[in-house]
Amino acid sequence: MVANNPVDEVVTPNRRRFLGLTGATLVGGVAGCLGGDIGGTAEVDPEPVDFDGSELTADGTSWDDLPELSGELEVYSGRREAQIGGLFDELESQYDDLTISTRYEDNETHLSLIDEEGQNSPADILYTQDSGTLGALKGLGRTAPLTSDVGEVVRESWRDPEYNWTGVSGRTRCVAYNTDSWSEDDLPTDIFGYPDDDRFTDEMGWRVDSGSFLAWVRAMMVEHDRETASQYLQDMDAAGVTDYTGGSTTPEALAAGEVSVGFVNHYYIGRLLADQPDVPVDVTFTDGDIGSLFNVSGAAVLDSSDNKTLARNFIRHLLAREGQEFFVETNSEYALIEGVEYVGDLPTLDEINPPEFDLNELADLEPAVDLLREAGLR
Amino acid sequence: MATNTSGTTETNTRQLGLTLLSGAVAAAMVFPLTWIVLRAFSVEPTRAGSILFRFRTLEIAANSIALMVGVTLLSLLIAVPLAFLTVRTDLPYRRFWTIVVALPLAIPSYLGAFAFVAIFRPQGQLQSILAPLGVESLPSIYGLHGATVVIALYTYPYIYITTRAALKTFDKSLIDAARTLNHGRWSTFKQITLPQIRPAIIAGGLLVALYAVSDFGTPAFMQAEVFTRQIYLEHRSLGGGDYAAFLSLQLVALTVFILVVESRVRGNETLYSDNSGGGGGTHRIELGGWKWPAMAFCGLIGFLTLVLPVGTFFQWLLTSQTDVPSGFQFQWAHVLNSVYVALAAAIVAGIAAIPVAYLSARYDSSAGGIFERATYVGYAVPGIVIGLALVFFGANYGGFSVGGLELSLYQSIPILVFAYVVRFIPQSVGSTRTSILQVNPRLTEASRTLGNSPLQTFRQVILPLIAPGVVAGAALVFLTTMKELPATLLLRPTGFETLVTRIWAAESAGLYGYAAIPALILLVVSGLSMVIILRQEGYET
Repeated sequence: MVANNPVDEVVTPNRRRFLGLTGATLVGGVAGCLGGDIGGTAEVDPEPVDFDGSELTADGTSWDDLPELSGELEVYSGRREAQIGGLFDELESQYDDLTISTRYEDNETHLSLIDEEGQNSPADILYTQDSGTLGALKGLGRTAPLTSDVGEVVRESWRDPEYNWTGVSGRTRCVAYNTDSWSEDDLPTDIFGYPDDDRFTDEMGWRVDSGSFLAWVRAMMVEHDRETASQYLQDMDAAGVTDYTGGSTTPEALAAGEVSVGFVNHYYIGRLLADQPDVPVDVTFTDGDIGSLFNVSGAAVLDSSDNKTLARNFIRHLLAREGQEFFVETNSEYALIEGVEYVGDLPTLDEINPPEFDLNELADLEPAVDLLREAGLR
Repeated sequence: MATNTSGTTETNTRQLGLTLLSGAVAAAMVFPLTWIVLRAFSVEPTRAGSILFRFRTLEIAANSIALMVGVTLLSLLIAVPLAFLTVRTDLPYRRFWTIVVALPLAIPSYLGAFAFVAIFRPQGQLQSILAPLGVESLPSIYGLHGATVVIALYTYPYIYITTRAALKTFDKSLIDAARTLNHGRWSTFKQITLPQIRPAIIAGGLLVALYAVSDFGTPAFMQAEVFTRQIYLEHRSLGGGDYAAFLSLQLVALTVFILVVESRVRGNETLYSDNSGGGGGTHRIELGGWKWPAMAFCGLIGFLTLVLPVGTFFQWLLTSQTDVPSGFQFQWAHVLNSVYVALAAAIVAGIAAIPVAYLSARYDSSAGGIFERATYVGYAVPGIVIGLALVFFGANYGGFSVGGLELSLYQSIPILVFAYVVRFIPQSVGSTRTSILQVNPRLTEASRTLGNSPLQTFRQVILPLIAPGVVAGAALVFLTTMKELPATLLLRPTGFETLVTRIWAAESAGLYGYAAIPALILLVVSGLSMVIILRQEGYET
């Protein structure tokens, strides 16, 4: 019954369908309530919908020109409260009749949750740290299209071409290093230059349990090929890279000198430097290769939401001027609209030269999961 | 074992009723686990085969077993001497040490692990103190050995508490008799004391062993590759849920195996004595010059398990952070919420445990044994698995309407409390069961002879006698519920914040300063419940 589906497809829709059938025999008739996606081929509406009020523009539309937000919105957030709670607070104080209920968890846990909840999910919006989870949500057929003006401000490689999710803020992978051990000139400008260089043996660390890392490995498989990515992971392992878990663990290990080179998202270092200006840590970027991949945090409206207009307007607020400025000022992230410039301790996007990469290629992360398993990282 | 010799129809009816009640509790506790089976069966057979039969799976299983055995043995080595020192000897400041060495159970092991890593990591705080002496790096604490030590340090009190209770209640006139017969101390311990306290040690050891396989935070932090860490990693990989289901199934199989082994070694359990209460007291063993190393041992354990993490929390307090959303400010509502759900879980578990414990302790039926064992399985399954299972059942089948009003159990307090009970009820069952075993069945007979009905007998004779055990068990559930994180995150009502959810939010954002106060309050509240547990031992120390 599932044999005609290729194994490397996102497995969950198959699983759901199979569960429906197994469930019917195992627990009686209850499986009938499992929501509409049983046997579904995960189709979504590919057309954007119309918007109210002013159009979003690349210069930055003001919140004042957008429709007022009112009602109750349930957000499943993979971004942490410390990163994003302030923005929600700001929106709530802007609009008296707006209540934003937020559940904070990991991106992937939210995805599992939404999958388990089916059409009874109370969530209106999934807000994630990476684009891959949103692509996977679309793959489950659980997204609803956004407004057409999203396409005016976010370039197509940073959003779903069918308007089913969009990036809202950006970050790059970077090479963070301990300045007591290295100067910038010592460090390779090629990501593949690290595992083969004896100087870095037992000196490197990275976080392996994040969506960003998974997406990054997948990006390497897309940009090069599976063989290259596999070899790279093996070489890194042979070079004694330390596998950390948890967001700020790698920056802290760097600051403590436990490792001297770390591969992380740039904003962790931006925030470390903002909090503790004296730590001996700095960043550099590989030149135009996958080591400085630009990825986005983003959001999507759930197909099961009974509040889609509010949810769409909420996402438009994130892409308006005040929303974009919040990401830069509070989180040391990059804005996605051209009208808002980066300010902070790290280089601007123009100075870094990240590779051109279509984030839609990261929608199916399962090959990366399998590769990490093979490499013993999962 | 028990008095069930007459086999009257009335006894049979009573036993049947109790069996049904006990079976209902066991079924409710096992029910969420059916989700694992549903998930595992939904994997295509070829994929299942390739997942199941590979070296990595074997490696993870071996690591998990090694962790479990290591933690249990190390806990025994810490707990039994401590229990002996604080009950049977003239250790100076005995009451103080009694409480101090029980308190580690109040500290979530993931916070303990955090402190340990901060201090003992290769280039951690200890190394920076030792740096002037030329120490450039400490041996790595990451891996299985580190995880074993940390988990043992925070779970040995399970054995300590049960062993203490047994040491206090058994008939000490036996010791006097043995000593009169010129047995040495060691020989007396081996031949008289050990057999008497063995069931208690095993009961505590079971809780330790199962906790060790179900703990996630510590192995993840210490980078030990065991079932729980892999299950979490898989749930956090897109499409990894199928492998997670298989790993969970293997974990359940391992748990069932442990439970079977434990019931085999549990042996004869007649714990009541013909003497009343604890029997004739004997003199405490005089430590003499040994009191110094004994106190040093207690002090070392207290230092490692309490002073280090508390010191770390105070260090956190001193870190300053700016631009923090208002939600991170401490609120007393978080404390109230924690206490509220923990208290609810303790009461439900305490009550639900009674029929299960009573049936398995009083009637020599295989059903009773199976039901009691069944309640242990949920305890060994990681919180995220119980959590996701109840998300599935709650969101899809938890809705009902009362008089036109649509209600849903999903993301509500009742389903959250149910999850806690599934995870922690064995602590209540174990403690209640031990206290029932200590009641001489002849008391029941006497009460029945005097014309009391079975229910009257239970209420007026048995309940007062087992109350301390029931309360102690419920207090253990309270204490562990206060610490629980993964199921809380998944199942709580949106916006319902407890101490641990605040610690998690602050810690995962690197805002340690804001994790410190909830962490310290958690310790105080849990510490108080630990005092209640020790109080239930009765007798003056």
